[in-house]
Amino acid sequence: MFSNRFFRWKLGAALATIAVMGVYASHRGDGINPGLWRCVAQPHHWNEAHLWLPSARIVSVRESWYEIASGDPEVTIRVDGAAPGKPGDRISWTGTFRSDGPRLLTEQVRVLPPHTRLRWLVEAISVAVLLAVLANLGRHFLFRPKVLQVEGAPRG
Amino acid sequence: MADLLTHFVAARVPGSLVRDRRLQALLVIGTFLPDITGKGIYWVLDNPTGSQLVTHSLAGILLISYLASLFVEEPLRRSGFLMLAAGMAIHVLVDMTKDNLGAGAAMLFLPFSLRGQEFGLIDPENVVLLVPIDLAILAVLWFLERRFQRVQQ
Repeated sequence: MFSNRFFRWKLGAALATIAVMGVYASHRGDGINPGLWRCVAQPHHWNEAHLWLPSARIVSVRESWYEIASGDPEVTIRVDGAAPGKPGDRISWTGTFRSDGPRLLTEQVRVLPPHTRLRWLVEAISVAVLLAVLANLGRHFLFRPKVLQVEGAPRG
Repeated sequence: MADLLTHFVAARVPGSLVRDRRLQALLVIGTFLPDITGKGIYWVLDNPTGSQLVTHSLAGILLISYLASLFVEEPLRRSGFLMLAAGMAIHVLVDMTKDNLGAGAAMLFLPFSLRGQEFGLIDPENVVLLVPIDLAILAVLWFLERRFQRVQQ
């Protein structure tokens, strides 16, 4: 399994299996947590779809409902029930999409603390860490022509 | 690609027990593979949900580790595969600590089940608070490793 015998076949089989799994997951996963803009664009198709919005902004607040903006492209939609915060607050939300309206029915909601706006910092650190780890990997595994040249050089 | 520092620390701590630096490097890069390969599949299939499903599942861990291990020299391949798979498993475990409000952080049993699993311990939008903790763990690890090296000398 780990030898060089039938190397190309093993490589091809592994790549093909990952590709098949990717296509399968892409097909089956299409209906899992669809983008809010897709739900709004095709409300009847996505009626009763379960949604998870990791981050949404409260746009306006009324007595029995409020509006949130979320996604890329950003979409504004009405949410039934009392607002968990004031306009401008960010929330994490799960619930159901309803095509009449369209509107959202809340299952769970959580107001995000202000420091979540520092997420860009985490992403910048992540990029730096990734570059450092790739450099370390290269130090151990990169193809080194000089070494090969010396090893393969004719003796004498 | 959120919070790779925490993923790095989660792999680097057990990695300190691995003597061979090359295997240690494979363990650490293994913990980034679910996100890196997920991005690759995303670009090909243009489906963010589907791509993450594959790379954050048990079958995906085994297949991607095997594929990656084929690019490692033959004598190191078997242990390299184990390190890569361990790194990927650590990544998925760290992701599963997140609280996605029940949506699930990984679908471990894909393609047999599309049910998401999560432990629900950390708010994913709160990861910025983990940065100082990660740095403290790295500092302690660096100190311990230097001290251990001196004792060996």
